[in-house]
Amino acid sequence: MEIKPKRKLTEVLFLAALLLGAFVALMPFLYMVANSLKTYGETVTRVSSNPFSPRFWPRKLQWNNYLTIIRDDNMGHYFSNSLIIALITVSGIIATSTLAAYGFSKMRFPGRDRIFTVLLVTLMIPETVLLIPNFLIISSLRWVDRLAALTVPFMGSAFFIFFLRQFFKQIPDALMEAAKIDGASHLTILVRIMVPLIRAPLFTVFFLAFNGSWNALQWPMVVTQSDRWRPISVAVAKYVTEAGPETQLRMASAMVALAPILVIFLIAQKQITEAITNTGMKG
Amino acid sequence: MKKAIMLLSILALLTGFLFAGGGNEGASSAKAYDTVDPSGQTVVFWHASSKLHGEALEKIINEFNSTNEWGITVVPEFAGYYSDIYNKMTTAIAGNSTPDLVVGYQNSAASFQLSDTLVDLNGLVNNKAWGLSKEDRDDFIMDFLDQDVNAQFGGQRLGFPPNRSVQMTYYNQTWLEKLGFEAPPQSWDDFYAVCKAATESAGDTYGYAISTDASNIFAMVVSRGGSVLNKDQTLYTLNTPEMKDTMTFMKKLYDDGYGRKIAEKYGDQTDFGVGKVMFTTSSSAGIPYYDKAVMGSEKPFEWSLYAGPHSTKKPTLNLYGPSVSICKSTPEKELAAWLFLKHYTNTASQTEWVKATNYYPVRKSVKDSLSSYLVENPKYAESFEVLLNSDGYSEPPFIGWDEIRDMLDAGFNAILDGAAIEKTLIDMEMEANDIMASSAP
Amino acid sequence: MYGRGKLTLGKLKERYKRLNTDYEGFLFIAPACLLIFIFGIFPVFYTLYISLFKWRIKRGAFLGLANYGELFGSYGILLLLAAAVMAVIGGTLLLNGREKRREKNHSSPLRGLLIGGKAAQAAGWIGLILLLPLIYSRGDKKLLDSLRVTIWYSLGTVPFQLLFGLTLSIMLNREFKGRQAFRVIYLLPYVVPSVAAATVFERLFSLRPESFANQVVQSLGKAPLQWLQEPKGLLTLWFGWGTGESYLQTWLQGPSLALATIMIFNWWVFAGYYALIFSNGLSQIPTQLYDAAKVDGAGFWTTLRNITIPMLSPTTFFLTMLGIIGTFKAFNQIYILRNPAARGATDPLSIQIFFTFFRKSRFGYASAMALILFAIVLALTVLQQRLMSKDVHYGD
Repeated sequence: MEIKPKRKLTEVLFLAALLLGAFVALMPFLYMVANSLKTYGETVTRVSSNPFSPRFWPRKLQWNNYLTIIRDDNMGHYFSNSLIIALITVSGIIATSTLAAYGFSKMRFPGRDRIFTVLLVTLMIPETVLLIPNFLIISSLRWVDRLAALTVPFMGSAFFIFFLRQFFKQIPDALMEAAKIDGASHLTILVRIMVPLIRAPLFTVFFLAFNGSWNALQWPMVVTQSDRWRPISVAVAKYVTEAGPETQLRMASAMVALAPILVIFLIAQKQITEAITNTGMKG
Repeated sequence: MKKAIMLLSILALLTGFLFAGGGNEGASSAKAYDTVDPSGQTVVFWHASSKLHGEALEKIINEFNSTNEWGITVVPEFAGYYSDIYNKMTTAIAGNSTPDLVVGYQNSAASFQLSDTLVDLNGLVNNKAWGLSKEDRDDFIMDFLDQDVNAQFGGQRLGFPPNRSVQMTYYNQTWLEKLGFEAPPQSWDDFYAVCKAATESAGDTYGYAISTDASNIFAMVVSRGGSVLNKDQTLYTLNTPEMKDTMTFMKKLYDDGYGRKIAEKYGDQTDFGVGKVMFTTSSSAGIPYYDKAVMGSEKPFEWSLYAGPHSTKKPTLNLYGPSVSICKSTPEKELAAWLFLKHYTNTASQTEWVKATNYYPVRKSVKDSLSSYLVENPKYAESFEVLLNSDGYSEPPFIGWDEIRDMLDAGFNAILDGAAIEKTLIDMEMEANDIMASSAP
Repeated sequence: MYGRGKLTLGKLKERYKRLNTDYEGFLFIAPACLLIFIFGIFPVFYTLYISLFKWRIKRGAFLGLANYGELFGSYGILLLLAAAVMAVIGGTLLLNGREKRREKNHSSPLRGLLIGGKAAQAAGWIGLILLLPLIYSRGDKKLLDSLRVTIWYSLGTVPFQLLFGLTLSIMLNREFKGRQAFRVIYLLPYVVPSVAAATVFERLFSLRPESFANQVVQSLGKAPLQWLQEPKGLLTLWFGWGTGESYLQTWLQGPSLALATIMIFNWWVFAGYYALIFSNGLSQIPTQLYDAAKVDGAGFWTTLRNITIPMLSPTTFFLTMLGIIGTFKAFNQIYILRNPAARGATDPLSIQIFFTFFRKSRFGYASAMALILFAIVLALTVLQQRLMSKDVHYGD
């Protein structure tokens, strides 16, 4: 097929924009990679903000930094803690949010929209304010230093309900009414008909919730009092002293902590971005 | 609407009743510990020492646990960096679940004491049976210990220091000698001259990386014999001749191009490491980092550190460091916690601690037991010597000082950018005293 | 019951509703609501409670509304403020009541309610605006200063993030080789720990003449700037505006350069995230629509205007709303980049609240501030929902 000159120009511009954007987006990651392989001295004196400059990179790759991180006796423990916490939290979020989002968009009951507005209100409260009341609740439940303290408070999320509700609303009611006439219960409709249609948003919820749980730092620090359930984010925060940060170790541990997030995203993103070709939906 | 407001207030009140309980029935400082038996107690220590520091601390604790005659057990718990510990303590105080020992800076301890959480250590330090002996008192550097006596709380002793650091001036020795100076400048005028020579020497170089941080402002003011508080420590005095001199001097240095602002976090270390700047100011605990920075650069050079220029007779330094506080609980636990603090600050423990952290010990006798370490680490030895021959002053231990620190930093920057010195200082003094008044206990 | 009067559309709707009520719905929302109530709503009441006390880590003396009085300058101002807010709310309620009554009875114009409602609203708004300088001179300066920062920050980030996010998601919606890789790359600034992102950014926007940002500035023939360490407003730097001390003057300064730099950082971090959410919206658009448009010979822009943007409106609404809420309580992005040198000029209300909590240990006062922030965001959300619900295309 012959490409017209104007067409070609747009293609070139498109590609240029795409690459430029990618370069800008890659910067922090490249910086992390490069600095995780430097000596401390190099992180301070061998610096550049241009990845094409040799000064951006270490003279000699210091794989030792990673060994130091991994050899830390608790790293594996922290890692599995984080995984357990994240998976439990995410499952909880998906279950409660899907149910509620369906209820708020596809079922009619008195006060529905008013309750929803009240839930939205919770998105507006600064976290600083929540810290102390929530700690008091956790300690009166005797959950301090327990898995429940790290998971249960995050299982109800107005954000994800709101997010999923937007997608439920886009699904025509006709689909549901048909099933209803066949005698299907709401739960059946939700699981059999609705969930497959909002698969993409659900994967997004999975990814975003996982990311949020994985990176949480302040709350875990406050409600844990031993290493029993401490997550990996705490380990990453360890490399700061009064005199300065061990930048290279911080970056290396950040890399280790980032790996699962990237893996999850790779798994989820194919689902997230797959366009719906299902003919069950009309526009 | 009315109904909603009613409902709101009822809910708010209910909320309050739910959590209002739990007064503080901790022991008072006047209590005698003479007849208390600390045997078999377990005390929890929230600390901020990770990695090498954490290992050293654990070693000290293990030794105490296995050798102390009362069978006391100390349980160390890494509770994050100081800001994390602060948050954790705040919530713990609200929930009545404080640890027995907690590390923190003096102004944090003051915040905790707002709710009467901490033990006034005067009662333990001065106790005949358990307190410090005559030999201890001669050995401890009392200036260090007295930093924890807080004027905002009627002279209560809210903590006990395991270590201290000071603000020092780092310099490029190779370059200094090349410029024909034998020793680093002792007066501010000489300092200016060296900065000028360094800037004019070659290429894109300059004399001093101006740290606009409040610690540095404080250090520069005390080096001129000034202070940021009035005599009875009730008001901030920021419009003093010493403060004006400091600002005027730095403004000139900056305008002449001999001093530059620090461009980004640790940007001063960057410029020092590549040989672009002659002087920087930093904590004495930064020695190993500077060492690595210079060694990691393309052209390593000889460098050193000293007390910096001063117009006082003896060099005067900004002295700082966290202390360990004891939280109120039972007399037995409080005493057990104190006995561990005594162990933590004994000569043997201090020696181990210094080797791992490069902090300064709080006992003079540690100098002897450190002898081989001092030989291996000449820069540390040098700076320790400087410290022992200087006067140390500490920043105000008051609530709200963190906010005033930010204000000082901003004001210094504004002056460098052209704001009128006198007016800026007057405004800052007023605001500082407002902050002091609104945050005082 | 339905015998009286005509069978109007409204009545028909009511009857339909009655037939279609699913009380089971309460069961569906119960788990989430319970959790959110305990850990999200209950703390608001606790905060309200704290704000009525002198509360320094632990509860002290009961102060009533003194914390609010200190914030706004005096009880008198507080009273005036409450009156103004009530006037706005009251006016709105009157207008709403009029709408409802008109729905039932088309003939009556209810002019009295119309005039009364509008007048109350207008009086309320004018009162609020006139009170601002008074609050600024008598009350806590930081309250209005940080609110101004918050508003600039919101205006300077949300629209741009939407624009970048939408552009990215449309670019990545095309079929081309390596698309998946680009998707991952564009999300990196969002998932990379903020310490790493902030350190790179600090270097790119450092005040050194040789930094990336200053190279750009100098290539345009201008002098290097101080970026994150510059508290001066953009309009002051460009036009010399806003050098006076009055409240109006503070607005003429524009956002500080330091704040603008943080805004750029925000675009960078969130563009990929917005694109991800937009992609979700895009994936829910049935491909048949595009096929049909293709058959009709519609070009890229036509398709964009007539299909993509309208079909994305629920997503756009969602992101705008969260964007505004997010910027009003934004903390992390600003906290990691704020430099004391630009003190105040980069600190929105959320940061001031944090500092009042943790640096001054004034929990009561901080709680009062937090509730004001909360009230403002609440008002904005209500306003936004009213404005947007008219335009949002939900597809049903």
